[in-house]
Amino acid sequence: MATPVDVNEPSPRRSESRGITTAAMLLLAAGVGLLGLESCTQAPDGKTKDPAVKDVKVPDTKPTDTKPTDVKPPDVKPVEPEPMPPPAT
Amino acid sequence: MTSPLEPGRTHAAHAAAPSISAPSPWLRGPVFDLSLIGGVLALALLLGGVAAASPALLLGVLYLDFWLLAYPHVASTYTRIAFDRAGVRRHWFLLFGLPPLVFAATASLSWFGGVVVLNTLYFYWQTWHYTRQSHGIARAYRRAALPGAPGHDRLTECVVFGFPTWGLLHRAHQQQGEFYASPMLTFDIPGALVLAAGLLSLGALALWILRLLRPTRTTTPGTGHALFVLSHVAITTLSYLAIDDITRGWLFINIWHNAQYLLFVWAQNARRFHGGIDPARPFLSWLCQPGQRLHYALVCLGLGGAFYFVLGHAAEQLAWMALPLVLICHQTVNFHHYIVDAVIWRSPRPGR
Repeated sequence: MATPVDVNEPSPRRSESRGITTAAMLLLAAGVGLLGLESCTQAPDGKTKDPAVKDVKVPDTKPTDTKPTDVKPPDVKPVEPEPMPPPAT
Repeated sequence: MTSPLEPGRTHAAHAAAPSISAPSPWLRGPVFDLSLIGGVLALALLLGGVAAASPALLLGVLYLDFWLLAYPHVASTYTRIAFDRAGVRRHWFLLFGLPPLVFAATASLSWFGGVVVLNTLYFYWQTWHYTRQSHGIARAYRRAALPGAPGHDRLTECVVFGFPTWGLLHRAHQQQGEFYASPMLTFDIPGALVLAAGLLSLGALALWILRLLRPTRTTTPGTGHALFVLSHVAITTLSYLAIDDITRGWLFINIWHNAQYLLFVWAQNARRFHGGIDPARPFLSWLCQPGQRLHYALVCLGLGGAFYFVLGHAAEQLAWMALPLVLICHQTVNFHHYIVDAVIWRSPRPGR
């Protein structure tokens, strides 16, 4: 005598593949989310922002009255262009 | 001033014509003539274009032009007058008497007028020299193709002289006070005059092209002549009108002139000794055989290079003098070359 089968009940294989698909989708979503988060925390110059430092106010400290040291530019003589030979014919 | 390479009145011009019984559109043959016309034009466009496009390469192109073309081209002039005893005897004044006179005149100009006068004279005289060379070569082509035709072709002469005149007027109108990194005199030329010169030149060219498209037996000198005149128009237009900078424009036509002169003079020498070795001129006639092209080129390169090397160093030794001696020496050689060319290419040669 044949055992009655509920045709509406998903087969174990199908439910297994659904689980895998769901997990994969979740992983993918998590990956995309992480990537998005990472990109949001990137500074324009490519450096990662430090969220802890982001909202910290810089204390108002006056600059010290130190005179800038007189840095002399190096003695680089301008390169004179090579003179043209006298015109010929 | 007389005409260098002017065939109507010169030995060279007659030599350029292959034979009165064998009219030919070429001076030597298609290969040589296309090199003389198309090859030289392409070389000038290439090297001049490199110098115009890259200021950093201007000096390199100048050195290449001078050492490989200009100095050998001056040396090649002396194959016509100083390579055999008869030539030295005939042209002794050009060889020994004229140089000190030209030097004295050039130094005087520099002393009284300064470098600006010397520079200005050079610019206008070289234009005249180049144009007369074009005129002479165009007439050589005409004589080769139409042996019995009258010596003058007024329409071609209008084209050959019209475009350089237009170019010079344009340059004067531009009021560029500097040429070749040296000061230059400027002349107040009204724009209307430049426009008129341009219209006349273009009109002459249009008529000349119309005549070319309707060839007749007596008016059409042939392919070589047409290509040569067109190449002259192209390089003149580029050098004096299209290129804004006067020095870079000049470089195009300077390269063109030097390379063209070298080839043309070689062809004349080869034609002069086409019968083989001349016992009276064994070295010169051997050197000018078509099979000795490389030796001919090396002799011109070596002589030109050695002469200018010695000239430059000798002038530098006297740099303490008040005059710009290096410039005076080089301009003396240039001006002497212009005069010698003007004389030798029209001197009749008795006994030939």
